[in-house]
Amino acid sequence: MSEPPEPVGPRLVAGDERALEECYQRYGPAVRGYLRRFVPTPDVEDVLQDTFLDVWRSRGQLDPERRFEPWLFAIARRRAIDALRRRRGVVDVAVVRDLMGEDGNQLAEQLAWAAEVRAALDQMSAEQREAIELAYFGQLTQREIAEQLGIPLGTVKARVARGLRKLAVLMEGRAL
Amino acid sequence: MTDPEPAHVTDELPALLAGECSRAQTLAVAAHLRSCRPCQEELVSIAVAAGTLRAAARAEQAPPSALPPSPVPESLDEKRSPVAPVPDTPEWLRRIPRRGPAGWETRRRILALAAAVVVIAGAVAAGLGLSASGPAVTNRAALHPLRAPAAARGAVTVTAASGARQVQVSTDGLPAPGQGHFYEVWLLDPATLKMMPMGALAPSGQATFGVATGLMAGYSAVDISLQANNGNPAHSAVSVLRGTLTS
Repeated sequence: MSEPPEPVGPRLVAGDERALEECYQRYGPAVRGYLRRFVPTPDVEDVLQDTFLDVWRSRGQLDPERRFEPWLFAIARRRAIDALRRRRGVVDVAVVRDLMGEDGNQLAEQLAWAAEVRAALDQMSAEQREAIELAYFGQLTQREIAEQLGIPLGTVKARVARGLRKLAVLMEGRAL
Repeated sequence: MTDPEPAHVTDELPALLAGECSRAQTLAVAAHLRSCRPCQEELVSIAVAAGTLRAAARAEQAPPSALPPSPVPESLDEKRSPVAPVPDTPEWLRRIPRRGPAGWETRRRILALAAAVVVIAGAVAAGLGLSASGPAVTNRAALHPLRAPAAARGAVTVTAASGARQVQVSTDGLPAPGQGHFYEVWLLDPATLKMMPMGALAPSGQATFGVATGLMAGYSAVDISLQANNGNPAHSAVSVLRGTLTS
């Protein structure tokens, strides 16, 4: 079982440079996935860079007592809006409206929550995490997981159940 | 479940919530839950966690409401990216704390130039064709059935060509995808479930794709999905074949 990772928010506020790299490794895929929904593909990597640059520049404004993920995705959303404004006339106005409206905000919140879930999964044993990811993100049945991993169905059931109990403790512990 | 009164049913609860239990199993678990306080408590925890995971998966997999237009083809977009796929830390990120905006822009231009060189080198190599000794095989994968007939199989061969990779996919035993459906090939990182679409599998069950080497580095498996021809570019979550790339 992995040691619980230290929250990156307070370490960013303290100016810990390694926290920025951890932040990127932990949340980079989710932020990129969010940006790809709105930003033209050639701009995605630039906006991703701008987002993490902004995270570092704005770290003094981060309240370490509050959840980090919504703050990160709010920055990503602002940078995406900036990118679309620069491309005004090229980008479909419906995309801009979706991003700037309630839907874009709600999606950012949902993806921030998903990023927290991914971070919580990192605190589980590799076996539990693998079984849970195959079940809930790979959408395999427990029987299919057993076949794919070559382990008894009962082992899959135990890993998933224990992993879910652990996840509930972790997520409720973060007052979600 | 054969025991009519199991000691506890906590390990069965995820399958129950996912609708994977038989009628008899469901009734047996229900009967136990009615009178077992500890299992009722467990049910709350497991329902919270399962709901959380389903919400996370839905958020990650939901397609955009409208795709932004791309001025250049997707394949060229990917080649332009100067950033290695996560979870590796890209060089630009390491520079953030130590460089101001001017250095940042300089670094970005250097990375863009380096990426362009790689792409051009790959294109030149592709234009020149194979080397005299033939392409070197860098990776292989045997594809095994997931939601496919047990006899379905596939093989992937990756060959090197000066900064680029050629991915050859060959399948056997897959049923016809059906009206309005097709099979799509994906690169997959099982650790993060990050996926990159490669393209459609031909009706013959064969396909060949070109990929920049830097992009290949972030993926260690190949997945083939059954997709509906409805314009939704996201993975359908119906994987029919999958295999791990080995060196």
